[in-house]
Amino acid sequence: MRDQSDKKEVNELTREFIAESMAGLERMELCLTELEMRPDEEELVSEIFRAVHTIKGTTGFLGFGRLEKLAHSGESLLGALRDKKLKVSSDLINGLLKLLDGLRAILQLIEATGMEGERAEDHDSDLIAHLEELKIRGMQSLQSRKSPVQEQKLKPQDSAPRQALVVSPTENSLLTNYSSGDSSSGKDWAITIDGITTGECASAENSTSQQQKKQQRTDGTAATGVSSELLRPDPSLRIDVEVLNQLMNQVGELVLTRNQILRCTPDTKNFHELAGRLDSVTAELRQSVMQARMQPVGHLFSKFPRMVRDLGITCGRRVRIVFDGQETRLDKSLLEAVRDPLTHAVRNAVDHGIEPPSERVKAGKPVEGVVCLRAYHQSGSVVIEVIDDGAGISTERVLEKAMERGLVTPRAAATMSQREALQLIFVAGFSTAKIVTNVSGRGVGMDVVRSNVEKVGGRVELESRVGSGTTVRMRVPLTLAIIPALVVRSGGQSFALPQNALTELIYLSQREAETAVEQIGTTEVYRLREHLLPLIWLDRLLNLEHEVGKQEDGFYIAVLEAEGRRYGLVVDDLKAPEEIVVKPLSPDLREIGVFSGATVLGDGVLALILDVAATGARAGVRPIAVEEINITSADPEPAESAPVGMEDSLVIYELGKRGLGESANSERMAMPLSAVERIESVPLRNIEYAEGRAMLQYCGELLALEDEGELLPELHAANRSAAPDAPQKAATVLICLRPGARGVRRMGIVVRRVLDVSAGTLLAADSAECDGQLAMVNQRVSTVHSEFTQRGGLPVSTMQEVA
Amino acid sequence: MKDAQIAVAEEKNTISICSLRVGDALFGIDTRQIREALGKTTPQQVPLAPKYIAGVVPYRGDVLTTVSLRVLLGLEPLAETGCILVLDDKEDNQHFGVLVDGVGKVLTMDLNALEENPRRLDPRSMELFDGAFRMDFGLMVRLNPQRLRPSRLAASGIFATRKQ
Repeated sequence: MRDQSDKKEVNELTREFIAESMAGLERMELCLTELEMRPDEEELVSEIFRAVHTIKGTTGFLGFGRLEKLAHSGESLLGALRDKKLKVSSDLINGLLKLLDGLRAILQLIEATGMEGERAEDHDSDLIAHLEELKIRGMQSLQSRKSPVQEQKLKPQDSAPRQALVVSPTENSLLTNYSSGDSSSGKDWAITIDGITTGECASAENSTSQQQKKQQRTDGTAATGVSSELLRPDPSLRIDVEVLNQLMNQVGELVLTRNQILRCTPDTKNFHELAGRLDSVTAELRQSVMQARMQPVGHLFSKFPRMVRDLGITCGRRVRIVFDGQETRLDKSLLEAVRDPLTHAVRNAVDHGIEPPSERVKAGKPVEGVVCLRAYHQSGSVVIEVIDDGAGISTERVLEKAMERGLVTPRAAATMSQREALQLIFVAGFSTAKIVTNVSGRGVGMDVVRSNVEKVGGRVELESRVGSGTTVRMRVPLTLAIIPALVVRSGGQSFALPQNALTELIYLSQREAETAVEQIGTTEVYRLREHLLPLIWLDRLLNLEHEVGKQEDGFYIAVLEAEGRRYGLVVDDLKAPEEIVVKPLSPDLREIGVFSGATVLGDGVLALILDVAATGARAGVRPIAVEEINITSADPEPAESAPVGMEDSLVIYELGKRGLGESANSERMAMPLSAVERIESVPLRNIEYAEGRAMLQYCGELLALEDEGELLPELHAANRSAAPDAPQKAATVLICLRPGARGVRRMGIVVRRVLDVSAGTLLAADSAECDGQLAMVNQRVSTVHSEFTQRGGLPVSTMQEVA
Repeated sequence: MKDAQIAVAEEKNTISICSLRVGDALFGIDTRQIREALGKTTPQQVPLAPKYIAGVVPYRGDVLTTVSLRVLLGLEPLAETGCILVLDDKEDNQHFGVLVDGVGKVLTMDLNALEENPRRLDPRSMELFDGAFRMDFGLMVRLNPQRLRPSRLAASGIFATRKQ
């Protein structure tokens, strides 16, 4: 019995020691990178010395011999540095970073297994020898006043990092994979890391010369080690005792209030007072808990200097990292959530943003590039920016790349603004890097950043100026657990819509709905100002029973936007906006994919929280690659060659009483003006018939007349019944140039009347859903004549052929 | 204390069983495996969820996924509310609920009276039932909470029918 409790105490002590040492090593890492930039700072050296010294001291007491030995050799090296017997050089820093990795690996091993891995004991000797060598050579070179930088050989480095990462078989797979990968090829290292870091080192060897290979590989390992560290969420949290006391007080008050309420009878007079008290205590408690969960973003930032340093070396860039607003606080869970996107953005900044030193000199910039991480509060959210002073993003290249990958058509590209073009970077599978490097450029990039940030209710913005740099701005809410939401009703159930996805609310009475909602194939759309908004009926999507009797009341459209999907969600009714507490759903319900959680509403009813992006995806709303040009339909493929969103002059005409579906209204048709040669009013007697087909002699040519609206028989009938002296009716014929298999041919189209010639926008449409393409002209939908849709007007060259 | 009780129960080769009613059938679950019985509660339906998911109910600050035993047995869901038993999902370390028509007495049953599932049971029942106690007035089918776990039900494939 006694034995057991003793053992437990040791474990707790060890755990505490590990947490403390890890924190010490983190500080050390930060100091080391800083020391490299400011080698004369004595304060930094002492700080590093302290970290290693503490580990050494405690570890002897706990009986971890291996750790002590390593720490001791590090300490003696640092001691020499502190006593100014050594000079700070990049080799020394490299050595110390390896020491740090070694210490960290042993600590992680102890944390995982409780043992420090006796079997790997002998492996430390290389590292210890290397440190010793560094010390001796450093001291010698200082004496002989030689530059220590040139003299170093790479040999010891080759083996040292491997030792640092070698672990016993019991260690987690992540680390074991590194060590095994080291022996074969660089590719193996990349396997265990998730999407963002995948391929970290995969092509290190391709992009570098043979001579540099070894250096590259060791650095690659170091960088991977850092990112695995970055990806590992910190399971513990440091809380201010003050905050904890405050929490305890508030819980005490909550208990007292509860006691009073429990004693209440239905006619207790001060019930309202009690309810008010409960309200305020709850609010205070919530505030305190949130405060306790808040962590300075500096915690996250502190991991980057090392990463930037290692990346800089791998990519051949000179980069300095600066921070601003480290003390800005953010909820712990959100901090974890932005970890990956931020890592990615920083990596991008170093690899794509900052130019190689030679180019920077040519551009008249300082040789050393600067990556700035800045955090600040802005209107209820925290903004984290990654700013680099690199080359910036060239919109031409973005567009070129986008066209190459078929993400945008040349015609659409020609009219895009710079901002719109930059948005393309967020489309999946996009990368502008000229060569795929080992760090980034695989096209798994900004789309991941965006979706990760949007998952926690944030937004990503991108600003860039060619020549002067790029800013990636992430906006994240302060907290996740409690979000403002709008509660809506549909099919007799309540659903919560996160406010941050909600842009607008529209009420349509039943009468308005009849005219305002237009049908395109099976998709119903609503014209909201300049745009077509695909509508999703929530009750239909979720197979809910439609509430009977609701029909006459009209409905609400909640305009939602998330992950680039914009649509109108049709719901029966709106309820009050509420601050809801998000509760996770069980995994098998999460699998449905439409709900992101559930919440208990003020009236005690459980409501499901709608995942706005997933709902849109389920209903087939396509994400909008480019803002502003955003008419989409259920078509997942980009429309073949129809230039979506292009302004085009269109002839608008009416065919006959044959609209889409059963509507008696005449459908508005459109045809590109470029395809129409003339609009003729042809007396009926000029129209001749051959083999049942209407023909017209026109400029010495015989034109086939297309009469889809069956207007000619109607007109003939009208002429026959009219008085003989009345003016003969004439048919309106559009003389068009029709592209066909044998070149362009003229043809005539009989129309009821020509309505207008005006500029319109061609819209993307699913060809499976309706025959023609659609165009938006003067805020009304028109169907483009099917013969002329796919080309969106005739190519100029074919036009000339005819002319 | 609790350990002692269980030990006594095991010695006597008896277990205490909470009896449940679904339709006309009687079921029983070992009381040690029941975390809590909630009174009449109507679960909030989850659209698009498998049919056997009765819905979700708030439970101790969490959202409890509730399985309808009626639907699992192939009966139509009742309009009136039933009772929910909160059970442990040992695999995921979470809880889930089972919606039944009614909860009856706690009975002490002799394990000798437990008979295994007959071979010729239909696959659904085979999947759900864990033997039955022969009683004076008929059978009481024993249920094993671990067989009712929503994740297991989904994985079994027998019940995975989406709501239409």
